[in-house]
Amino acid sequence: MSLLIETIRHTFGPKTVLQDISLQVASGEVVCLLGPSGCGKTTLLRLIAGLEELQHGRILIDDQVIAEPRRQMLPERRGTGFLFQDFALFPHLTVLENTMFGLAQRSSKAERRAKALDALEQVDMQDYAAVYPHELSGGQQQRVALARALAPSPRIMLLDEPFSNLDTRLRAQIRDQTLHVLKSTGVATVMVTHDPEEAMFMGDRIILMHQGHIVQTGSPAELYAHPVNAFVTTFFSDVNAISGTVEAGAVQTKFGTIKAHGLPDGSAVDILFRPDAVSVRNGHCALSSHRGEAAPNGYRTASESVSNIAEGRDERPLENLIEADVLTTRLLPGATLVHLRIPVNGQSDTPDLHLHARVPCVSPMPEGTKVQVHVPLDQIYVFPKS
Amino acid sequence: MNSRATSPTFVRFLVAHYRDFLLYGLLLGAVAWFIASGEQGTGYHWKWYRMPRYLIQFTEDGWVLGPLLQGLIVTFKISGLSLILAMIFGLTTAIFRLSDSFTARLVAKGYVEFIRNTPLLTQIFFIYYVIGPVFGLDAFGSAVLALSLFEGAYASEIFRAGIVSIHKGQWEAAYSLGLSRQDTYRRVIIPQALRRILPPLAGVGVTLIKDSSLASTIAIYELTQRGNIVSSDTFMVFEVWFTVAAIYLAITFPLSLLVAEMGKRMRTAD
Repeated sequence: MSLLIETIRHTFGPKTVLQDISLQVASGEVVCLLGPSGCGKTTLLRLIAGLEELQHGRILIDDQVIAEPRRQMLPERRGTGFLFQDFALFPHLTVLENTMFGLAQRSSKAERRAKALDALEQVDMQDYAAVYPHELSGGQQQRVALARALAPSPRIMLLDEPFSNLDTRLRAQIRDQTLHVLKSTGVATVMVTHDPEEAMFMGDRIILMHQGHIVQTGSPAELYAHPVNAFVTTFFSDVNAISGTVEAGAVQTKFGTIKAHGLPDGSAVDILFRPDAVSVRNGHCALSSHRGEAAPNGYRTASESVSNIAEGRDERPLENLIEADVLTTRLLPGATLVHLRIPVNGQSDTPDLHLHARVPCVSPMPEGTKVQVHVPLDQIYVFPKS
Repeated sequence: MNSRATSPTFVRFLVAHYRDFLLYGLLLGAVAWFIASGEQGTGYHWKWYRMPRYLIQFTEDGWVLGPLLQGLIVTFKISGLSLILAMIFGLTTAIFRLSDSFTARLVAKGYVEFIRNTPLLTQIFFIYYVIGPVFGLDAFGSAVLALSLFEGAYASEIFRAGIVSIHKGQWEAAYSLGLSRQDTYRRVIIPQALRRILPPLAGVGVTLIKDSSLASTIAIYELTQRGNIVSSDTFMVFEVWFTVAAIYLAITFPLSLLVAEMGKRMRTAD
């Protein structure tokens, strides 16, 4: 149950929507196609399902060619399950009849019924077998749609923005359940989403797309911590951006000297770092949210290192710690967003820096509080100015 | 109906709209006066007492249907058969028009345009005098064919609208669940479309009953033709045509009410 896509290209009239797309999905793997709307991710999903005609390239399921130009297997023969954004349940059939729908070719009616009930049980909807879809809530409809798509035991599951029609609280619950159901069936899954958090939640791997190209492929951690360009960096979170210039193969910033790999001297660059890379020290309470460190220890390690630096007993260079003023703080779920102003020391012609820091606790600070700010150099990304 | 339960609201309605009712009564009175004066002017003598025997009669053989009711049965036969055929023509044409095949689309489009842009009477004559002899169709067969082709063209537009109104996702969902195009039509699209188009489709049935009167022109003894014969036999022109009109009304009006009621239910069900 694996999927292989080779060099797909697709155009709608003069507009190229997919360009040289190749990817692979292994059995039991959940891969998320992530990107802004109009990046071609849904087209790619529809090509796999056979709802769109392939123009260039090849699609293989289990080493069997299911689509190449002018030789397309009909969508109903491909053995793909498709979960639609609007669920597309059949309104004139009950939940059970909906679920039995894809089992038409199979053996006896009793067997089909048993299989459909199994699938409904998997999504915890067996009590609603005799109900019509319009009587169900959005979340229940989504679960029935999932059961319906899974009942025929598809070789590949395709999910098209399956949670975007659900309200926020329900979404978290339903996608958790969906993930576990998919993982328990072990089906290779491709899911389309525009929401990076959803992709990180659901995906073993993320394929980030932009304007018909694959920009970066990798685990959620790889994409988040090692973005290949500014687009990837900004797609996953709000970022702090400052400008700089490459001098002697490196960029000088207030936070330290960062190597500018392969960028020519004199070129203008964007220096990006995420708000949660910024740690803030206020008197005796140090706050940080360094990634890449184990959760309970991470907090302590980071704060200790910051306070050590502050006391000047550390070997680390002092320029990594910067004085800043708190402009305001905002409490967010699970974190506090601190707006910071870093005053410029007169000689520079740049205006004061405005930074955001996302620190992991409830830590309101009054305006004008003097704090010290630290950003680890490995979490600062330098890209050519766009 | 539960008239007792609704009577208070009806009385309130009557009181609130007394001026409308007054005006309506005046209008009816004017029409009655117009007919009465016309009758006096032409020296017409009403002979309603002679009408019942043309509807139903008691003889030594028991109850025997008069010519008008016999005609009504023929009208029902023509309309019923034509309705079934019209639905088949209509659905087939609609599916042809939505097919991927250029030929099928062209054939369907040509049929619909030809039928809708020529008079029904001409079509009936054409089929009776030209097609009929070639294929050995009698008058009844010709009438049924002409009417069903005619109404089928209109029904096809209704079917098409119904099919197109079904969301594209339903097609895709059916395909992704392993259904062929044919099965998708049969099990997903048509059942849903049928619900939506039942009211306009029933409207086609009403039209069909009325249009069947044109079959009288090719010597079919249906209601209108019977009326024609009775009125020229007896010279009771007013009584006969009033009666014939009333019979048509008695059939089509409840049907129209049913259609309206169905339409209302469909809207609330959606």
